[in-house]
Amino acid sequence: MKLFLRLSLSLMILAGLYGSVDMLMDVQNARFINYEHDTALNTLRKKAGTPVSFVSNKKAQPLSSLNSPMMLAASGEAAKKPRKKMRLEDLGVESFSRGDIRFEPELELVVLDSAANDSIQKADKQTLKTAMAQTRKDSLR
Amino acid sequence: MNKGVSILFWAPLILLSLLLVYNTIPYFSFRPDFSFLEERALLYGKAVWKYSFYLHIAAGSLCILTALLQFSSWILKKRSRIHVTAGKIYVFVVLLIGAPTGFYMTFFAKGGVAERACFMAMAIFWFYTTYRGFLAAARERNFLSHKFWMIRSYAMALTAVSFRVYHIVFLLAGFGNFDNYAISLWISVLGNAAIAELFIMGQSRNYLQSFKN
Repeated sequence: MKLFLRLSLSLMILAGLYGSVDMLMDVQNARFINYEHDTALNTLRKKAGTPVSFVSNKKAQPLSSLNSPMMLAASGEAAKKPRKKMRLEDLGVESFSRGDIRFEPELELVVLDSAANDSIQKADKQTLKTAMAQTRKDSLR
Repeated sequence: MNKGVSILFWAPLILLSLLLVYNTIPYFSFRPDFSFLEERALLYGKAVWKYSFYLHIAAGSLCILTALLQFSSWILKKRSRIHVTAGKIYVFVVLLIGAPTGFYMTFFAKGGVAERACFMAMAIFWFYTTYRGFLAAARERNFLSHKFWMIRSYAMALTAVSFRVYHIVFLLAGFGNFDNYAISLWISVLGNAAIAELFIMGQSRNYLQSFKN
């Protein structure tokens, strides 16, 4: 009985020692999973504006998906800056439907306007070039 | 405890314990494609953690099954041999396998620092109460003290069951994954300990003495 009790106590102490060393090594090698970064409260703070019900019902992500910063850090990869998603509003093409392109006279005006601006700029450049060449010729004389 | 209350207490407890053991069986296919293991893929890559996990769930299942036999007064009076054998298995499994493997895994447990500390305290308390319960029966022959320490030990073993119940309840209440996990853990550990102490208080003449013996 004494041997059994001693063995069990030693196993418990060994588990504690090995566990703490193993954990410290994981922390040093940046392999330690710190779940605190992904608490629902932090997610809420990050996603300010999203409906609470959506965040609160979010399930844990499997490691295989590797899409959370915590998982990236755990896998040893540096946290990559998330790519900004391009929105339709940014492109100014709200009038695009999923299927055909709808004709908008305002849009055509904008396009024509920008095209006109381009041609004016091109003409201005050409005039400037000619003027500079003329000045150079005059100075040589 | 009268018969009606006893049935109301033990019937769901037995059913949920058996359900927990039943749900543990698929893990012994040793496949890593369970959501619990997928979430801990990095840890699963460690041989020590992996073996600790399988030993811990095997030990836990055995503990819960053997403990179910221990609180039957009929078995204790009429088939005391069953009580002694099942008790020996329980003590052996908790002290040599369940508590040490659980204690190692607490360092990598899900949750924040507080939740890890809670898991650690639970593993140490589970070990200590089982150790004291075994000593009280085997060395001191103080069976009342043995009963009280074993009630405390069983309360800790049952956190695996109560945690899952609270987890489902809070999930239905709309709590997020991590908050739900932390709340369920704390309530299951502190709640089980409180229920065990209330039970002991109701049965002992001198409650504080139950910690000394």
